[in-house]
Amino acid sequence: MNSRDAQDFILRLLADGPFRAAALAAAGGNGTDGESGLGPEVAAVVSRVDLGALDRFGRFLCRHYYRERVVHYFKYGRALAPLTDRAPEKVLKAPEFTALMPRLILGDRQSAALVLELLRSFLIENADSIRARIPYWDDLVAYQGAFFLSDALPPNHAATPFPARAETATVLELGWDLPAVLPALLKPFDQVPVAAMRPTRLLFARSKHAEVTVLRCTDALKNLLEGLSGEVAPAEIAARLGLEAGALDKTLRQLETLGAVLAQGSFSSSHVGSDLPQAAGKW
Amino acid sequence: MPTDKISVGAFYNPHLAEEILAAGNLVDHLAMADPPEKRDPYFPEVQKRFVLLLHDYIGQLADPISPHALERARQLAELYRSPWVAEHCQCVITQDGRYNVDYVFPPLYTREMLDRYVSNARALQQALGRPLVMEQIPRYFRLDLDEMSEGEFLREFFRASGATFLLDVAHTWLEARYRGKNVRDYFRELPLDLVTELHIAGVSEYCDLEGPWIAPVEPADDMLDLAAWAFERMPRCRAVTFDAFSTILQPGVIPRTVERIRQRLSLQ
Repeated sequence: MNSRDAQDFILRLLADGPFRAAALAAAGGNGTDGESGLGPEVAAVVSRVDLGALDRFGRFLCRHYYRERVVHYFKYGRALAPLTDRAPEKVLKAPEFTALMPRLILGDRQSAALVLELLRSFLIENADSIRARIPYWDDLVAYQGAFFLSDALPPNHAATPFPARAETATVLELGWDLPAVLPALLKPFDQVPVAAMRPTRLLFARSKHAEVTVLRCTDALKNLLEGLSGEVAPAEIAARLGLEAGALDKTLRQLETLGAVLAQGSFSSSHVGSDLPQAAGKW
Repeated sequence: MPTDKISVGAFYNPHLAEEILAAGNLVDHLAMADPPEKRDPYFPEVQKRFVLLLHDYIGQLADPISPHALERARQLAELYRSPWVAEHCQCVITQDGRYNVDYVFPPLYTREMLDRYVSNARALQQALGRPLVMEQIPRYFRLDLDEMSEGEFLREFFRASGATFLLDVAHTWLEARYRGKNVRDYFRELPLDLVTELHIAGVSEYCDLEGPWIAPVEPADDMLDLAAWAFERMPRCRAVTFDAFSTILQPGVIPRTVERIRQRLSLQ
């Protein structure tokens, strides 16, 4: 094993809780057949690491990793904490999170979903008094949760012959028009900012550069995304939806840049438009 | 960056922008860990008033830096008119991109890694057209896979790449502590003569680590004493920065710490 590969192995030990637990068990002689259970090259690396300290550092990294994301993506919940007494990051000091850590893989979507489940429970359960003051509280938690989940790495994508909706592209249906009220939540206020009660649909997309974008999702855009199975040619989709082929192609490129669509051959993946949000918003 | 005096500064913490702007001549420069928010009302004034140093994540020098990352760094360096750009001596993402600890973590100090760092640092400096400083990162746990010491790795890296040293005092203190070495002896192993920028901050206790680690807090007096001792051994140092960037940073900490740094290092 060269040193770059050895570095990768150490990084995986730090980032991947189940992998680290298995390595610790194997190094302790609890692997398959009572042997180390590790290949000889891996065993040679493991034997030269202080595994106890590595495990502590892995747990430190795990708590740090999710704290960074909770602080960033649940910033509206944090701003409202003086009213709710539920600062989202408190979850990360709870025994439930400590118990969960050995199952978590940093960046993994399923792991993010497990952490999100804890966050939702903490923020939403027995929260009637919060809802009385902040009627859109559940929608706010859902909005921030969608952002939090979108940050995680996408699952491996099976190649498709035509453009497909990315599995990380999330459509969220809300009962309150949150985007209009969000900026006010981050400013000082005497009265809780009021949101308009009207159905609001949002699309969350994660780009290949890990940038998460949220935009309003019209019926047309939702229909388009639902039609992108990866098995239907763009020309056929255009015909089905009554669209001009050139306009559809441009929109697909924009959605690809945002990360909502995974391309396969039928249009370039190198195009970067300058009018993405506006043009996509027409849908 | 003035050439006739040593610049003293801090990190730009947007939630403390008003205080930083009100600090008068106390702060000479600001290190930029994140790009400015589009709606940051203070940034235009900050940009006018201070020398800005690019201290963002550009990419890990263990691997070639992507054109996308290079372009982003180039744009930020131009926006800041940064006299040099900083990167960390770290390797935090696996080659396949699947695992990312999203935190600082140093490379193995081997000949192979050194070659990779030198090659990629040269390419980075060429692409940006600006000097590079590299900050060393401490290692918490024993890892007997190195072929050379941290000091040897850094000195050889700077010699071969043309980059210079951003030395972090707290990082050095932690590295020495977790290696069980005398901290001043450990400092002497590092290429202090190649330091361009000095970082000073404190450390905090972490329950997961059962000990101290990097934290965005004020340096204790003994850390400041250590910084002053090391600073005397850095003939080419041009900037000293209070290394704290966090939304938990409270008002008053930056001006107070910068003032303490100025006094202790005799940089009035």
